[in-house]
Amino acid sequence: MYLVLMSRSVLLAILVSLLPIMVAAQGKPYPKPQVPSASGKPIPDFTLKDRSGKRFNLSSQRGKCVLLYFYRGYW
Amino acid sequence: MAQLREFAQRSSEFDKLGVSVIALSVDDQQHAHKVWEGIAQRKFTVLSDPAAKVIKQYGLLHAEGHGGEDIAIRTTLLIDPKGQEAWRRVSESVPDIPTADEILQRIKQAQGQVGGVGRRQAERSLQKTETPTLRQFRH
Repeated sequence: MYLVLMSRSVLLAILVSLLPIMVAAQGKPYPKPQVPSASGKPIPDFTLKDRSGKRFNLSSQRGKCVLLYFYRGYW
Repeated sequence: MAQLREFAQRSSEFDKLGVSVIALSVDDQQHAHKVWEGIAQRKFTVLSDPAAKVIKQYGLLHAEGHGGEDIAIRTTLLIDPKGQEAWRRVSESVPDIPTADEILQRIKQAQGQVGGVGRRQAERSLQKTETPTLRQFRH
């Protein structure tokens, strides 16, 4: 009986000591967009360089559907 | 990554619908070129936003999201021909990234190509493709 109680206490102590590690492993929550979704609202125009250094304006695509995909990068 | 590959593999379907596919990240020009040449198979535009200027403008900054470096929040944004937002999906996890099938359906909806019974079927199909957010797949 004493041994059972001891082993339970040890197990509990191990679990409690591991709790901060388990919480840390969860990491930061994935961030929410800083600007809410605005369905039906105009999308801001922008100019960026493409992979060849050529300037690209979003407004040049007006009249077409555009699929804009933001990816993580660093590959 | 898999999403960009799928866009490249199905580029003819996006072309048929008259859709410009544009991928954007904080990668510098050199990395963006590698992505364009390799993963994107030269099928669509790859933009470089190393200062995260546009990413911040769109409110999609994942601050210190990659080893202390800022990156973009994974987002698929559909813009209609008038330049207005038609639909977006912010994907917390890889399984939550929309498939090309779902995106093509959304495009057809935005272009008004799906109506009546077809529209209801498409909506049901889209509901089925909604995937739960799985924390364990985060990366």
